[in-house]
Amino acid sequence: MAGHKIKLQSNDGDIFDVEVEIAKLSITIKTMLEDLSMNEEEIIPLPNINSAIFKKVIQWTTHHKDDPPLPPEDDENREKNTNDISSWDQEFLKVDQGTLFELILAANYLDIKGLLDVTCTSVANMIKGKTSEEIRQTFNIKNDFTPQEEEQIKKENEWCENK
Amino acid sequence: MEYSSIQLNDLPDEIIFIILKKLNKLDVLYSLMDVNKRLNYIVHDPTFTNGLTLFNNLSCDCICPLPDLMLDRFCSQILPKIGHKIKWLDLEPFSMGRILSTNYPNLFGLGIYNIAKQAVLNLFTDKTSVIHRFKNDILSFVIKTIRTQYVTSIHLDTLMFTHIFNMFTNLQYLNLDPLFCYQRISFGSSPPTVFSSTLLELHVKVRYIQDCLYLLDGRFNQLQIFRVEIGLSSSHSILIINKEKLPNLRCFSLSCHSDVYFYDTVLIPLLYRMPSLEQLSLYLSCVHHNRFINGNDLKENIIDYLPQLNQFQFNIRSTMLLKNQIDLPSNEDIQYTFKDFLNNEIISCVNYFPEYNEGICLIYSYPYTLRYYENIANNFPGGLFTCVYDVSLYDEHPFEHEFFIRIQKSFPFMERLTIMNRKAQNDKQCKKLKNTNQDLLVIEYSHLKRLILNEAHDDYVEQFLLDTKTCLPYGLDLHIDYKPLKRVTYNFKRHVTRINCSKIRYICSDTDLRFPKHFKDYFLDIDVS
Repeated sequence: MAGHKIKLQSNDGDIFDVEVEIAKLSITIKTMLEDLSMNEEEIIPLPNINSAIFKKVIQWTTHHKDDPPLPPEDDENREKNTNDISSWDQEFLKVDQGTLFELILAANYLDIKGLLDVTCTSVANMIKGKTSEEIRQTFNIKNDFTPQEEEQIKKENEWCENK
Repeated sequence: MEYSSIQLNDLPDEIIFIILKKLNKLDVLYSLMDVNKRLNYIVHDPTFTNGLTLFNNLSCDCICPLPDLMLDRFCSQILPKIGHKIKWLDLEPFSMGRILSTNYPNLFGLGIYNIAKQAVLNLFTDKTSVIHRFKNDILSFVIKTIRTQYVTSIHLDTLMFTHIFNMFTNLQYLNLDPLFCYQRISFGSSPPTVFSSTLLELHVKVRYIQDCLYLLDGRFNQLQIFRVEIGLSSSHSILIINKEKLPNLRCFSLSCHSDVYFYDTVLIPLLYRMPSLEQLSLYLSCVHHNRFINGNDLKENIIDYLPQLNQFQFNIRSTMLLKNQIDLPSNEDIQYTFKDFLNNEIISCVNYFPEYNEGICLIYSYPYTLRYYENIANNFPGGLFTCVYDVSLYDEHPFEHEFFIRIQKSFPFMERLTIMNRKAQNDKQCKKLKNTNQDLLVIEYSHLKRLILNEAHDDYVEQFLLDTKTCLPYGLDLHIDYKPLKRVTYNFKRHVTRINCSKIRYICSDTDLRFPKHFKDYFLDIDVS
């Protein structure tokens, strides 16, 4: 029913009134409402999501509530296209890395395929074309290879760099 | 918002996999190999190492070698580490030699893409060629050939085919896939003399039905799966039809891209030679002068002769000349002939086009599997066609707004749309819709990339350009003659067509015209070619 709302509670205690149709873009919430026969007056807890991230999730689902269905899954060998992020989503995803990763976790937990797709594509774009050293710098990843292993990798790199 | 401290390395493996699967395997390996132990472990997963395509795809089926720096890293660091995990490699001719010089003890599948047919011959005849190392290992071979000149050499096709079987002595799967339709394989009157008792599956694009018959003359006596695409209906040479049975053939798929005249004379007798057939797919446009192909026809001429058949997919368009016949079959008549097809949902669609003096009957099994759906008329039966990206509409009766709503709903992922209809719309103002208290639904074509209106009445140009009827996606290519476009847009000044035109790249084929100054500003872009 358009305009009908349910209450969802983030893990830091904030309660959000969300239109049912928008909330149901999350398969997790849809399942709770339909299969588990949850009363719409009940407050539905979302133990894995804080209020700041949940606000972003609501912002995204509200904007995308009338989107057409997603195309069928890419076949394994098809050229992957990571360029087709809409300008609205690009603007929406101008956030720090931590928020982006929290959005991914939230989209995964709430089972919102469109949001999971676009956030993961955004991270994939950050990876694409970078060398391993650039990846470490971009994502603050510690090099945990032993000195011997590191030496071996360096040798291989030298072979490549001297060419 | 407070900053979060979560980092990439904190995400669970499951999420890392989802992210990495957004990338090509090349990008995954190039960027993440040797970053840290955890990522190293993930990128060594068979998902990223089982099979690799080591070239870049460009648009229009073109490919190019990897950039030097990337190729160097793969050849020196990455491939030696994962060589033992690689089972399939897709390569292009320029970097192929260097890539194959690594050790691949488990490689059984090889694809070579966009290689000239002459280069294929050199590859196989040159004794120093690196491909000889894999002579006994390759069980599956895919080859996409190109020809740099428009010269047809039947001799070359015969030689190439011969060399492939002489080289890969254990070959079980072969896919011969010429890049362009005019480069399909043809053997003329000198078919290859090769035989193979290992080949189980063959996919091939040939020029004529004769070439298909050569391949089914018993030379591949273990063949179980045969998929053939035929370019042209027939050549002038005489068909020699082999009568030998093909007892091992379990799966046969035939599609022909031009009008077929050999349905009764060649195709039906050919199917009688396949007594063990379990799966059959036929995609044809048959020209008959006196009948439509219907359920009775398929049952009496095909199904009754194939006792093992358990899956029959088809899409058959038959054409009949109208010569004042009486009792022309209706769609209900055709549909009734499928009453015994209990395991399949069969759709039929019959149209008579008096102006063309032609009747057309389309029958197909549902779900629909083709990537295109051609010449849809007003009596389109509906349904959902998520795999179709190329749609054309044709009728001698006008298409109204409701019809376009149905088309958009049935083909939600349509990328290319062609409209052929010279008849003006009866209800341009959509009064019918408004009378039934329905809002005029603006049709949104989210995935459309190309719209072709060269053979459409001005009303359909208007249908697609008015923002009150249609919302076009950004960057759409519009193909249409200049004059109707000028008329519909009131010399490129009309307000209600401006929004859609501002998102369009107009592909203009009229080059010797003088365009008004403001013409270019009206569109996103213009390509005068």
